[in-house]
Amino acid sequence: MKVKKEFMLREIAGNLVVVPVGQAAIEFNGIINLNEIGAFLWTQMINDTNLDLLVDSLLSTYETSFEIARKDVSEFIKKLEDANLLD
Amino acid sequence: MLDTMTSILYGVIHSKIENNHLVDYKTVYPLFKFHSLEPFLEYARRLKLLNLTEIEKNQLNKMHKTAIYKTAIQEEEFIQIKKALSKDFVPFLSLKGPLIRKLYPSPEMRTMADLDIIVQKKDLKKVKNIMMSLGYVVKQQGGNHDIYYKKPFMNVEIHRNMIDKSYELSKYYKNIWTKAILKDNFSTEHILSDEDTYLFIIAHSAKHYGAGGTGIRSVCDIYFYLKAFKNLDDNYIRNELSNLHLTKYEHHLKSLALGWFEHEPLQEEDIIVGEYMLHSGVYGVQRNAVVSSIALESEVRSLRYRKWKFLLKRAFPSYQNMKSLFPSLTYLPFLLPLFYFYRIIKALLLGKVVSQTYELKKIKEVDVKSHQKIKEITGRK
Repeated sequence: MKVKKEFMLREIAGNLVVVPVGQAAIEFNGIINLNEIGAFLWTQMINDTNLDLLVDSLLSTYETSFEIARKDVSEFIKKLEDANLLD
Repeated sequence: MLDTMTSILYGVIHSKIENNHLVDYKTVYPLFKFHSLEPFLEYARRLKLLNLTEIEKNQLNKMHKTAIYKTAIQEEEFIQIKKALSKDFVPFLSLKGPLIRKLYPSPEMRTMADLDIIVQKKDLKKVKNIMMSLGYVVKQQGGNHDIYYKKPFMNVEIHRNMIDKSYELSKYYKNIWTKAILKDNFSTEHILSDEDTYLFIIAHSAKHYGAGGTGIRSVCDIYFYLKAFKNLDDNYIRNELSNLHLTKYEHHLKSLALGWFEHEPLQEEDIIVGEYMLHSGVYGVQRNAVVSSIALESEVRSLRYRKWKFLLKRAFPSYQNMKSLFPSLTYLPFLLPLFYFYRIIKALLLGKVVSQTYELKKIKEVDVKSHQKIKEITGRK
């Protein structure tokens, strides 16, 4: 699983936004703002990955429990799926 | 209002509060919008310079987030366009917006209605294919530029010339590719020297100033540019400004930039120009354009005569101007009467005839003289 290459992460004025490029710009209707954790997970999902690897990455970078990390990552993946941002 | 606006801009630029007097958001927002400087208000809010309700705070936050998103999309689209043009070996020059934006304290503070890129006339067909392959649709073709559009709000203008041929300033920019420098060995992007870029910022602003006027954002552009590029070749700039007949104009804009944003003293003429810009908005206003046109006519004739002459010129522009509006006239000049007719009907249907006639009626001799004085101060016609 990975994020679609038609969506790029950019930082503007301290805000982390995901912008559609190419054909996606015509089809996508919305604004995607990410917080720091979301942006971190997004960058981890540029290449193919899975839930367990993402949880491991999160735990090695941020101080949190396994349960919270798994919950946050699962929710994040669900949101990306619902918005059709995953390949 | 000018003092209020420049005081807020000064505060944001220097991250300091000049006085404890809170400015009413409802009062200043329309002015900042008129000058396309709304994002500055979010920073003014953070500095506690504004008096606003919770609803207004949320509105401002939403506006700012939209400006951020728009900036992000424009930046990303610009990267994609540059890559595509370079891949097809199309030399191009991007005009001021993307560069100047980077010089502002934060990029989204510098709004851009569209992206302007210059290419050589021989590459226009190729560029059309490139833009369409990137998902753009053609909105307009011919004249000084082709316009491409992609949802949700990307407007890209592909120019043949730096400045439209109908403007006097275009003569200076006839051979711009002799001044353009290849940016690097990895793309076909060209740039102008720092000095030529500065000159173009001035010239482009002067072009609008001479028509409907130009606003505070032009002064902001100059301020941030001079702040970023402190070692410009002054002799070269002075010489070229003289060639462009923009010496006085540049002097006043620079004075305003330093006066408003560095609190250097302003002369009376600077203040007059500043007030004119305050009432002009970012791209000028119709009233100024009308007065400007009338002011060009000889004062020997009555105001009534000059107004009628203006109306006739508007209804029947020169063939040269009509070609800019309707490029097919270049090959089919006999269609000129038809295009005049089409244009008049369109103006009638869009209400432009009514609105311009209304503006025309309101103009008095004192307005024309006042306008002439403003133009004389800056050496502009």
